[in-house]
Amino acid sequence: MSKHLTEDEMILLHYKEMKDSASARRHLDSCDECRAGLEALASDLAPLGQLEVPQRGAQYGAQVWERIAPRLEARPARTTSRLDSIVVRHRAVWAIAAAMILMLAAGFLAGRLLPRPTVVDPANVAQAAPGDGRERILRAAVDEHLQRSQRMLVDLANAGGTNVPLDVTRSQERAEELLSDNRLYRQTAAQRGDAAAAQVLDDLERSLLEIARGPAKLSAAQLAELQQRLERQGVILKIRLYGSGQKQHERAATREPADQQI
Amino acid sequence: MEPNDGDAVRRAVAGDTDAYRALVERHSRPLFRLAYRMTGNEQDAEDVVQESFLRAWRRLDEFESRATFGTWIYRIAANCALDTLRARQRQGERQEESGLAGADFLLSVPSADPQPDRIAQSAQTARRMNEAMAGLSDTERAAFVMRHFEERSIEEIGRTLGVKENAAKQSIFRAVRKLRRALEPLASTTR
Repeated sequence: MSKHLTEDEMILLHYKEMKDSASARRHLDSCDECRAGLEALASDLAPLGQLEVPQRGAQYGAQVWERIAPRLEARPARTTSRLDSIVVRHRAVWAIAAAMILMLAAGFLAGRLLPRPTVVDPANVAQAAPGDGRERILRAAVDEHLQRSQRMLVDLANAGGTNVPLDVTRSQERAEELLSDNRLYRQTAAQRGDAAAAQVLDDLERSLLEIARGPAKLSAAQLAELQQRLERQGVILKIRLYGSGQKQHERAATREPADQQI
Repeated sequence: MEPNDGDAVRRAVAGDTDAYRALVERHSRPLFRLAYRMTGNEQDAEDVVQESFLRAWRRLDEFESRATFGTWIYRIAANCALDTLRARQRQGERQEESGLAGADFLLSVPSADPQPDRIAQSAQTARRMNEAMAGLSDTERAAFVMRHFEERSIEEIGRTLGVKENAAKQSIFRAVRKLRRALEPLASTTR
């Protein structure tokens, strides 16, 4: 390596994360400038070593246990297999997988049984069709997830009246369940470059977190504050807007082939 | 896996709370250390530790026996701490909380010399470091803490945060650049 090391390369070297560090090391042996740069990096980060974590004694684990033990739900003795358990916990994901398999099978059968069109664009078949199927299934899953989240949020937004302090344990449990699905859908949307879905899921995730992490019993003031916050965040409205946007998109998509036929 | 983790996990999965208690007692301290460094706040770190063990209890069926329980609960705690950071950010409390975190860090910077000027210098150092850490995004902070303090590999950090290895690497690069800019004055006084 004859060129000077970049800052990123120095960071990788500093943390011993450079995959092939031999040439970089050779360069360092002969380059005062880069050696000084690496030393400066270590020196700049050195003050962080002074930050200490508050000490926790040997009994800390026992203290944590004392706090969480009353909140542990009873676990039934395990009579089901790991696979059963995974199926139950991830039934939404498994439902999507099953639907995709069914669609693929249906597509295969349709291809076999139906007369082939006279003009076939292989690029469209290879790219659009399977992708469209996957998109539809994902959209349906996200839509279902958003609807469930919206129902929970609407329940909470309308809760209250004389029933205070309000026990929101059930809403918190629902929010907790929705959170893990939400994270999965948000990451998938971001990876697929679906900015609109990723944004609404990101906003939703924050609201779900607030609910899941908030107090289980809300006074009238706390409930009003939470409801006002939800209104300010506008997440219910955003879900509805996203849903209507999707419907318009679907309507436009179904109109297009008809228009093309005319 | 530590000597008794495997057996304790198997028994906990079957509903044995004593076995789970052993796991909680064994892993609480390292989790607190991670949670504190990620959140910068003692109370948040306490909450993260408790929430992590509650989540793990609910998800024990998903635990793959080929992984170590320590690694698994570490990932849960890292994500739990990230959730806390995001919730805090959402509530617009970040600046306020940073003030609290600063107070925590002030207590945690050792001062070997009780001279008033040395104490003041320690406090200033702590404040600067806290501000520097608070200037990182949630993901940058999480990735940096795991690499710099916890000495986890970038590959593992990516897996823990659910991002590609390159994304984890870029987060660390950005974090280091920001921290260097913020900490350089401190470093130059100690050189």
